[in-house]
Amino acid sequence: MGYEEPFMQLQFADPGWIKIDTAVLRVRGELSDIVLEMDRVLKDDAVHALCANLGISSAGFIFIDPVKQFTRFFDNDSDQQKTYHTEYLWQNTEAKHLWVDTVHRLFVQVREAQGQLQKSEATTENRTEDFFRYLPKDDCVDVYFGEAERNSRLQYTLHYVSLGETLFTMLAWRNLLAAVNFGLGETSLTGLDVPFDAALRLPLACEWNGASLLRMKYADEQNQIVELWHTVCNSTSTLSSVFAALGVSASEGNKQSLERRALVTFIAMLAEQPGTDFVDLPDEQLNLKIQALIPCFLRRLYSGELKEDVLASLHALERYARFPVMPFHVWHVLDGSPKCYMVSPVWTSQQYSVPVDDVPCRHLGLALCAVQPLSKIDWTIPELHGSPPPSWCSEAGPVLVANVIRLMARPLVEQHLYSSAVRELQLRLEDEFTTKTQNVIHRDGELAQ
Amino acid sequence: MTTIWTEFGFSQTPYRTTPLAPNDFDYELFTSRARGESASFLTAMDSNSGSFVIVSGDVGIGKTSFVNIQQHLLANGGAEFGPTLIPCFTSTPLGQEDTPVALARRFVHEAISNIERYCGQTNQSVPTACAKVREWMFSHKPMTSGYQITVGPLGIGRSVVVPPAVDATLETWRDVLQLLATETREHLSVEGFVVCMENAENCEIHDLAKLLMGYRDVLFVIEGIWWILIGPSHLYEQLTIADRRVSQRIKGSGIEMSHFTIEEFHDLIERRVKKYRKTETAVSPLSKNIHDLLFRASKGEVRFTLDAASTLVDTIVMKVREEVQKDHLRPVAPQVARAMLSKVLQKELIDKQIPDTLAKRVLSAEVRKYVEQHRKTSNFFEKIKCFASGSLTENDFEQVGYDKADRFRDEFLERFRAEGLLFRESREGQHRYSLKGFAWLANELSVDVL
Repeated sequence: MGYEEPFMQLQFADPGWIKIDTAVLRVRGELSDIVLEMDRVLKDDAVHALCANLGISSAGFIFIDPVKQFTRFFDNDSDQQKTYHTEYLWQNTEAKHLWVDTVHRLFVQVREAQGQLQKSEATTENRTEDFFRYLPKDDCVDVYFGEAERNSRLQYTLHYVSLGETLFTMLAWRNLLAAVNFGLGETSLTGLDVPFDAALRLPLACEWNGASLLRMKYADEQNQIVELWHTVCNSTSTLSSVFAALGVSASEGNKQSLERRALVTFIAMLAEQPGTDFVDLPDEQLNLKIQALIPCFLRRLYSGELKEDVLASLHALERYARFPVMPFHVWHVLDGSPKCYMVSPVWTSQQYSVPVDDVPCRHLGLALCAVQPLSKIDWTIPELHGSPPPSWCSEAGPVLVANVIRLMARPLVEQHLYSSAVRELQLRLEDEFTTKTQNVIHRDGELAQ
Repeated sequence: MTTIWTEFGFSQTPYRTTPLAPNDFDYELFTSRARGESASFLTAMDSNSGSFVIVSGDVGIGKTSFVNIQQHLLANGGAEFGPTLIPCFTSTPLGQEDTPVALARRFVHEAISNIERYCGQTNQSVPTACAKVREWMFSHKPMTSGYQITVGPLGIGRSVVVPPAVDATLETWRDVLQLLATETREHLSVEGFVVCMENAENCEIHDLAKLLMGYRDVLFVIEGIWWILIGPSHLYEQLTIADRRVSQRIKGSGIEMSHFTIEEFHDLIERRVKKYRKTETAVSPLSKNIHDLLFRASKGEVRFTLDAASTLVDTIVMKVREEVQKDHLRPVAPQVARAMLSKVLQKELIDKQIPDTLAKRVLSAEVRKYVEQHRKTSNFFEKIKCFASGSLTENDFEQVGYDKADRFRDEFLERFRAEGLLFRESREGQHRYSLKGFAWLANELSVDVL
């Protein structure tokens, strides 16, 4: 693939890059100091500008210690974090002011729920979180939509979810949620017909895969998540309003919007009708198409046996979707601009791995990112033919984005793995010396001459 | 520089043996004796124009520290009474080889340094006389005629005509000292400065008397200079016997420093631990029991106690470190292992205080080594068994195998007293000698050599 990086010069001159690079070379001390310092640097204006330029809407770092079976990630119940993230970039500054922290907490809650599920179901050591499941592992890509996507996953070792798939997943999820809301949870998915314009009843449970997302230490933060969810549900109280909020509605001359075109491109791929343009379908018809394709979509994501009722399908979608649907959906609706999910390895072990579907995954340090749709690798975004991309779309190359993210993560690599190993050795050394010293101090007889 | 003390959480050794200096920091380390020496000293110094004071006492009992702290109080108004003086930050040691003129040159040199330092500390301008005298003293220009040191505006003021420094006589140095003292009094809101001579024990008493006699009507009469002489026990009495004219110039009858009591010694250690520790919880590395033991061995010679304690801690740490490291096989960088071992030794040895049993074990081994060393060179330790139950006088010579009292005194008692192994005290007009230092410890710890 003859891909050319458009911004390769950036890394040597960009003030944001220099800020990060300088901090990475100078930051030292205890983990808490490093997290504080990197948090400060990543919120610097120059870094903010670099992220905006590259389309990195947020990036947080997760690390796994396979020996101690320890996962380093954010913890809503702790006042001292063991990892850091970039600033969340929003288009809508007013909404950002109101919701930025709560959206972050929602992401963390979903990760927490994923982790709990993995632990509770663990008949094996297999990791089941989306970031492990869908990240390419040693030239192996199990789930993909089309050769172009497969090739770019292999080439860049990234898990990037296209804009079309993101929108389709969100709409499928909202359809299933609506069906449950209308009391159709136990009906079969086949022939599902959820009213397109009927108002949904509140409150909808704030859950992920049947688990509450409100299990938090602080009541204030729980209330904020409830409020966030209700705000989103209020502003998207019908499926047609969901279409509008996600920018895929055909109304008001929006038929050719990039979001709608990305969605129909994905639908055509899923329906195995390449070349068929569903862009002219009325929204309600398009939604029926989406409802009809949900079983097919779930089978592409999961090859095992799935129950066919609506509630089970909702849980399956939450569980096997290739990105954390709820927080992405919430953020998209509140901010009014699409974000895609990207997972990029920031540290790959030569020695250790964690099993994922019985395949070893050696990528033990990952950046979990929300990015603006990356036009260079997003196969659902149509050619722009020279016209300027919308402001929510990034033309940055994936290699550059991954490199910037890796640089940001470097201090944690040492902290998490090297320091932890050194600390382990030091503890053993300390134990050994303490025992020997106590023996020498308390035994009888002369010391060495 | 890293020492075992900085390694173990002290800014420096709490067993510091160097004298306290005349400054605020060291003032807080000072343990005053309850026997009125301070008042006697200040009384002797209390004069408008200058005085000559003797401070005497046994070796290593803190005479210089005492003098320095009193000077500090006089310099910053902390003394209850007495003149405000520039302290002598650096004393002039007396030596057998020094001529009166050579010594006088050193007094001038030290006086300039002390004035400059004082001015630096108190943010005052150094009197111009200092620079001029320094220039004269260290001028390498060949001079056939005299040199005029003029101080005052536009070259009109006080002036002294002096020959080249190499040809300076005692009178020349007197004139220069007088100039410095006058300038100091006029410009620095002090009444003068201190010149301190120490190590008087290095001189024969008659030589010392002769030296002081030479200075008596030349230097000691200069207005604005306070002279202090630090020397061995009962120096004033010895000088009186040697030449009464010298002691006539001395203010009072000399300050004879008493030994620290054990309580005062514990206070001294506590102050140092508190001042030098980097953490609030730090304790002294050795227990009170071991401090007691060493203090008793020293017969009140605090320098010996501190030195022995410091050496003991050094030795214990070194030996424990060696033993622990002996079979260490874990493949880590030596500096990592060293750093970790330091941490463990601090935790197990220093922070928890070295157990008495370990301290005594190591102390016994060190005493044994010392004893063995002496056994090879003399028959001291065979004879010293006779002291085990108390003290001896020179008249007990037969018990120890000598044929005459004066031989026993000169060849044995005084010789080993000089080595710090015997302690001498005067009782009923007689010198009585008892074990001290390592000899006392050997007896106390029942080191089997004895």
